[in-house]
Amino acid sequence: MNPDVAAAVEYLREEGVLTASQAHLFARVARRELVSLRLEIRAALYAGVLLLTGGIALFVNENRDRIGPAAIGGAIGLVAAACLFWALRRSVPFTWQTAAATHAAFDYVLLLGALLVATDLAYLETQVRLLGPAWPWHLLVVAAFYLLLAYRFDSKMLLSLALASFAAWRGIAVSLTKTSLGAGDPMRLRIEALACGALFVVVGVTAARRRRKAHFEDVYVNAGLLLVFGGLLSGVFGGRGDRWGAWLLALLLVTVAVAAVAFRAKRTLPFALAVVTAYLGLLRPIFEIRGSEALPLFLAAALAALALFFIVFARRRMRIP
Amino acid sequence: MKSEWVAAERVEEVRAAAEGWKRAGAVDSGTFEEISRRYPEPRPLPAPLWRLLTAFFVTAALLLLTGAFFIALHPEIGTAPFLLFLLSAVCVVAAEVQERSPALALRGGAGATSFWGIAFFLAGVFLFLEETLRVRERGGMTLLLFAALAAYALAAWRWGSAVYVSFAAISFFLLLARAPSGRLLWIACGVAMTLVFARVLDRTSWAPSHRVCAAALVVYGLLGVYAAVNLYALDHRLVESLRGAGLDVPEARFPERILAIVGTAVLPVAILWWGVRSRRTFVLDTGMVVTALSLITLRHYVHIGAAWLVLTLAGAALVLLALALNRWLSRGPEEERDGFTAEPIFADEARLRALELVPVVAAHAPEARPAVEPGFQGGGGSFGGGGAGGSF
Repeated sequence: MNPDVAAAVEYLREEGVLTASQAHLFARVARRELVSLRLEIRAALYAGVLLLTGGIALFVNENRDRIGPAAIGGAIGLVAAACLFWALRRSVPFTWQTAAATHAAFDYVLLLGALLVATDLAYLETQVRLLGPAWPWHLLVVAAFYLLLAYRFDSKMLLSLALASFAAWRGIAVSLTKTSLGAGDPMRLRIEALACGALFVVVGVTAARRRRKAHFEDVYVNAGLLLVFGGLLSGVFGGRGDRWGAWLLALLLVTVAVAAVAFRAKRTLPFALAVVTAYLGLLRPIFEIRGSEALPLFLAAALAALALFFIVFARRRMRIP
Repeated sequence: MKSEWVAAERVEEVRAAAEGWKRAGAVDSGTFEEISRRYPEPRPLPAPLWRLLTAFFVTAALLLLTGAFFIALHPEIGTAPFLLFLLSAVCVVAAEVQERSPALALRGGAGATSFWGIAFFLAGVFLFLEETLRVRERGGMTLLLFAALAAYALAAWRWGSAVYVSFAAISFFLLLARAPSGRLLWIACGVAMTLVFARVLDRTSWAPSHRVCAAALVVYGLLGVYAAVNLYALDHRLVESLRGAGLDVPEARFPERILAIVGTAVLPVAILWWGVRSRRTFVLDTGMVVTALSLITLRHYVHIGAAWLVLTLAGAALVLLALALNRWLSRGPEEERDGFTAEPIFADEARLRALELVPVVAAHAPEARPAVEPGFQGGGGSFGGGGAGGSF
């Protein structure tokens, strides 16, 4: 029960601000006479999808020699097709605008179907070796498949996975736990990250301008900026032979540009990403200072304080909550 | 907690509820404006991202300054605790000043400074016990836990933070575990904590943030009892192992194991039943978590089938159960049954769905393709690339 809201509802009803029917509903919720289990249902569905995909993956791994690729591939394909067919039956017709989900389980059944198709593709590729040495191209196929589903079913979840799969195809690890961009030549990965990121940002901005799934813009732009900033930071914190000064200059130019655009467009997340990235980048020259051990720490602290004042000032000027 | 802060919190509760009503289309703009006029914003409340950003930079500045001071002053190990106490006092005063200012209270800086204030205090206590008083390890740890319990409980009482109350509860249970009958104390104190704080969850005289703290304590009480009665925890002496290394702990006796088996089976059902009866979702959520833990415990002792079969069946069962519950609730009169509904009511679903993207990408994003070195001949790669993780 929320006694403060319950009391306010009663007061607002007496004052005529709320109608009797509004007050009745709001008071029921505040007094816990009506409780939503939406979050619990969604959490159970997501956990169920995780367990199912984990179980199927384990089954394939343990039984691939005994059962054979055709049976395993066929079985996974059937389950995936059933999930996607269910999603298709439940979905609203394609629209370039936002399409509301018609069922609480819609997102998760769709996710399960998409993940199973990707699993099936990966499994068959390891067994049949259709692409041979060019097997990483199956990541591009998976990315295209996720993208297709994302647009058809208006799913930001699948769009995020499509972008991550595309980046993986280019060799970039999209992981919260790994601090590197991936394995291989760092310079090549930086260029790949910058190119991928720029591509995502351009697609996102174009989508918004042309009003073609304009609400996908934030996914494209935020994913793109993460890659661009990750690539630039990787350059700044690279070895001494990596010309970190040039990378820092590029990083500062890009972050200032992004912060300015985000400030004008009142977009909080890109602005925050730009500020944090610029701060992290500037730590490199500060910690290059030799002679005093305490001085770099003082300077870094002063820079953090400066960034703090900057964001307080920017938030006030942006006039958004 | 100051009376002005409590009053501000009450207004913020009403404003947050009104925003939910407006978002769901239950009130029009005119009504919302009127509610906002009658309940004016007492303290500016920036969006969570701004608060996070502020907390990040406050943390960076504080830690870097502390590091700089320590390097510049090179304090003796004996004087380091006092320097930490001084820093702690500065942080706590800074937090208090921010909390007292309506313009600064909710910007994220107050939370960060108070957090580091307590952390510096505890670091100071640790060094003081270890280096100045030379207290032996077991006694020192007990005293440190006492200090943590006191500091976090005071902070939760003063600033109404569920984070601090969580740290206080953890310190409390760790402290109890150090007693000779730690497991029994976990059960007794867990039950007492749950019963005491369940009584104040709806108390009007309590500040909204204190009611949230009480809810957190109910959850910790339940989890403490469950951890003490769980069969796996008993067999592996998980509670007793918190007393420290080198202590001889006897194996669990047969009657204890019987009681633990009953507890592991019954407690989740009891918590779920209480959650349904009281219509408190946080109790239901706790019940769901301990039910999952009990099922994992069952699987550990009883090999029902292969791991893949258990996972697949559990996943399918969970999905079907959720779908059935959704269907049952949706088909009730006015889409509700016994006061429960599957509709989001006034929750911000768009924000929830946006937040879901992070765990989905973290769990299902494929591994990056490996670097192709000159002369490398691809062999088909590892299985599980497209969204299925690195390998099976």
